[in-house]
Amino acid sequence: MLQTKALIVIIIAIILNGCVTVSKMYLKSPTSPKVQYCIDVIGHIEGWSPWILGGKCCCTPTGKMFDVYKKEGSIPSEMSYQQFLQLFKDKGIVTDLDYGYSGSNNRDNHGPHVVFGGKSMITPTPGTDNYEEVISGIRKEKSRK
Amino acid sequence: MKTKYIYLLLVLAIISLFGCASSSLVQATSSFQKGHFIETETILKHFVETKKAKNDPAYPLMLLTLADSQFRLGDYQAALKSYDAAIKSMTLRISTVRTGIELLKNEQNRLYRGTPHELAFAHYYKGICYFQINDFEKARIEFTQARLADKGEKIGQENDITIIHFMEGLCYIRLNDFDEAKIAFQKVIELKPEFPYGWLELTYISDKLGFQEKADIYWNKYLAIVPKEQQLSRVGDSSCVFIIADLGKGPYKTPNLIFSAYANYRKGKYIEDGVEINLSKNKFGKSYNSDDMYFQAKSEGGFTGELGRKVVSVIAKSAISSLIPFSHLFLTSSADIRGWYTLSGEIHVAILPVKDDFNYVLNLDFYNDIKNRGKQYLDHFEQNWYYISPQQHSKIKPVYVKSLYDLHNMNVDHISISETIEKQNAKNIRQIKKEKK
Repeated sequence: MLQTKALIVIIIAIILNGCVTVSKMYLKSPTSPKVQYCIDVIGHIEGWSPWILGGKCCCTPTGKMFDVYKKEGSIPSEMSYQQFLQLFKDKGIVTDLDYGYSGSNNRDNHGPHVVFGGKSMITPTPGTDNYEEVISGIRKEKSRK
Repeated sequence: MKTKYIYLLLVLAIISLFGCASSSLVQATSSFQKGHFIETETILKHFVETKKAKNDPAYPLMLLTLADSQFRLGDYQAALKSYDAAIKSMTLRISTVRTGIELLKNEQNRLYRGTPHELAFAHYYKGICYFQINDFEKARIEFTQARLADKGEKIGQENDITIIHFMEGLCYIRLNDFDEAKIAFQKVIELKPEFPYGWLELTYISDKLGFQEKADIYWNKYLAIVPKEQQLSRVGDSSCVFIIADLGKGPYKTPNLIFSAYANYRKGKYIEDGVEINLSKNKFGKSYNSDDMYFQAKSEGGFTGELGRKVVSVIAKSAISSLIPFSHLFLTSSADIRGWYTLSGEIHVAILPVKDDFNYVLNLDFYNDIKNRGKQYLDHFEQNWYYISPQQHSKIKPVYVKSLYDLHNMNVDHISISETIEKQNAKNIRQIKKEKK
């Protein structure tokens, strides 16, 4: 009698487990979260100041980009390009200028990306979790299994 | 009683010594198929550096699986190193003595040397890594090596992987070598006339080189294949999105029913036949199949070499068994069914025109396509990728995706979900097979 009861309990547990599994799933929204940080791939967002100066622009600090920042008034007018680059060096931050576009997706020794407290400002790889997380500023720890 | 325990301990010790390496590979492959790329990398990353792994005959397969996981995680630097190590270990020259010893071993315990299509695709993925990090010269070299590694069973079946020629052509364009690019794309249209992007690239090159008439012919061919909403403009450097999608599971090996010492390829079981691509809810249409891995595996060459090795192996084993009594107990000749089981089943490509200055949500709907039933969208085979930016046609880089029932999109209890879906897929496959019959 006891064995039959145990068997029934086990069967119910298996059935319930199957049901729960199906109901737990849902898909990612077809609408993207708001852009929190701009990077080279999506292009610079006008008026956003460089990350190194407390802003939200994580574009590669090229000479061209430096001129854009100057034009937009997001960096002090007296700062030279060399001084600007020195800020990155002082904090030990690597960018695409250091190695060319390395394609490590912020997974090398300098990672994670600076927006998540790392030392890497290398452009992330489009079509990956890390790419979306950097731009949206949302770290999906659970999906990083 | 005590001796029983000693034997048990001995068996456990042997299993732990020799079984661990293979079980790591099985575990890693299984994780990869479920879409757990970080888990796959974690299982193999440190393990491949151990002496035990390096001595394992399946070492090249571990490296290929590790490389695949790193590639899918967008870590091209790490993937490059792993693909490179895998290629080196597959093409390693071994001494004559070692060759002799290897011939006496059970096939499953021999050093894995890879097959022509595996070597070709290892070079291909390495080439893609270099392409993505803008090193077009190195990428071109890899695509050339991939072509050379692709040996066919019959004349015309060698050097016939369309995507390799296509990517090689794109490399030549970036390197401003339009004559070589033209040769590469001509091979694309020769291999796969229904693949529109060979015609497209030939149009652009012919326009650039001033061959107007030829350009018109190529352009009309492109227009005849691609639906209007998916057509790129002929003039100028139009904005577009370039997607390469790896679909399904690659071929696997089973022992031959008659000659069990040989292995035959079987088509990987998967239900997705194609992908419909939408950008921010604008319907664009389907991708175009460039290559089928099963065809590549089944038509690959090198059979004469394999047969030669088999004959020598059998002779050597017979000689030893006639000299040493009971030696047949350890001289078995079962088929080698090992293979690169994280390879995909098909490669699909789409180059779509988009408006500039906008970041798109790339929506991929994977479908099954049966003649009588038409397009059937597959549950759970939907992927959304955010912030996909338009690129100028001359500078396009692929967004590389894989058709897993997208676990990336699901944020709760990955393992149990994938198991549920796997069961559902198995059911779908059975149903589709019935309908196809």
